[in-house]
Amino acid sequence: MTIWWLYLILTLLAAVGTAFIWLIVKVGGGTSPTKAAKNGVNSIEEAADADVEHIFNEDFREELRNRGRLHFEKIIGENAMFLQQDLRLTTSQLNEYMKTEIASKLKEEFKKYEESIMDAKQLAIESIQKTNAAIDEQRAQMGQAVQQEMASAKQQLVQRFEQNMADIINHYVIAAVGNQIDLNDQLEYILADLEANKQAIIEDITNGA
Amino acid sequence: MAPKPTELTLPLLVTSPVDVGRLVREVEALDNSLMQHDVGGASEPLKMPKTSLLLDAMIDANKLVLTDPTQRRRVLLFLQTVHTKAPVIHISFSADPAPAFIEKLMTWLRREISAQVLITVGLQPNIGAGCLVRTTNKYYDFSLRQNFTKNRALLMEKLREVAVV
Repeated sequence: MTIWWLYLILTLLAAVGTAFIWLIVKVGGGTSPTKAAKNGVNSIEEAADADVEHIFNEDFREELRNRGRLHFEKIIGENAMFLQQDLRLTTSQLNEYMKTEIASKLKEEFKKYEESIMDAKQLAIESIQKTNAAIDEQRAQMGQAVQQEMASAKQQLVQRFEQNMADIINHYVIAAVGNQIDLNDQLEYILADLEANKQAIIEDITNGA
Repeated sequence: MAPKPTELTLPLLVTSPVDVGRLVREVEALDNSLMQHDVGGASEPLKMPKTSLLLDAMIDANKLVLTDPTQRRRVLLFLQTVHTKAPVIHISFSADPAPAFIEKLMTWLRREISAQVLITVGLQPNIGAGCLVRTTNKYYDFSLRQNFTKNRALLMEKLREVAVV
């Protein structure tokens, strides 16, 4: 809209300038002496021409030119002022328009950017949640496996302890007590054992090779 | 086959095949010595050489007169038979047994098992107490260690009771 107004004002100024120049040329051309001499049919006309020539002499013409020049300059100045005002208005409107457009574009871009960031964030959150779920599941499985392994190891340790404990105690008692028992004190028990197995010993001795 | 118990008796001092072998060699030497004396026709009266403690015990136990060649041959034959045929029992103890202990043990063995039984004594310090007996084909563990092993369930039961309390 503002551009069209600018074009219209420039065209108007160009038309006014053209009309003024044409007027100057026309006025100057109509008052040339050669043309008046060619048209000198009658004296009245010549007198009129002389009067005209007298009235519209060089000073008057110069005055008219000056007035025209001033008027033209005035019109040019006014138009320039209007043009400047319009240009300022247009510039301010353009600035406003650009601001609005840029702001809207920026808003739109920021909105898209924010949406993409939100999407990426959502994807990241979902991925993290899946990873956390997988980690929790694996942790639970590992916990169960470790507990089972520990229970098994504990059971094995207890069994091994029970198996070895008797051997340890026996070894300890034998080592601690064995040397303190005199063979003469053991004779009664040794003979009792031999008595209990006497028949088998006799049979083995009798029938053995 | 072992010699008949009624023929001769082994003294309690003779416990092992080594002792019997030593006696055999000694009787053979004695027999040779006395035979040389007889063959040589010496005018001096027959003098019995000095004998070992084992042979003295053998002579005392059987009331032998070894100047008699017949008795010498009888003893030699008996000892050789014992050396080759007598049953041998290997007994291991946790400590080296005293001679008195061996004598008591041999008394029981000769009375209850066989009159000509011999023993070889071994040493097994890790059995604690008791003994290990090995006959011709069998093995008997009369040790304290074996006794503990047999009663392991009882020991573990007592330990569990203590643990529960």
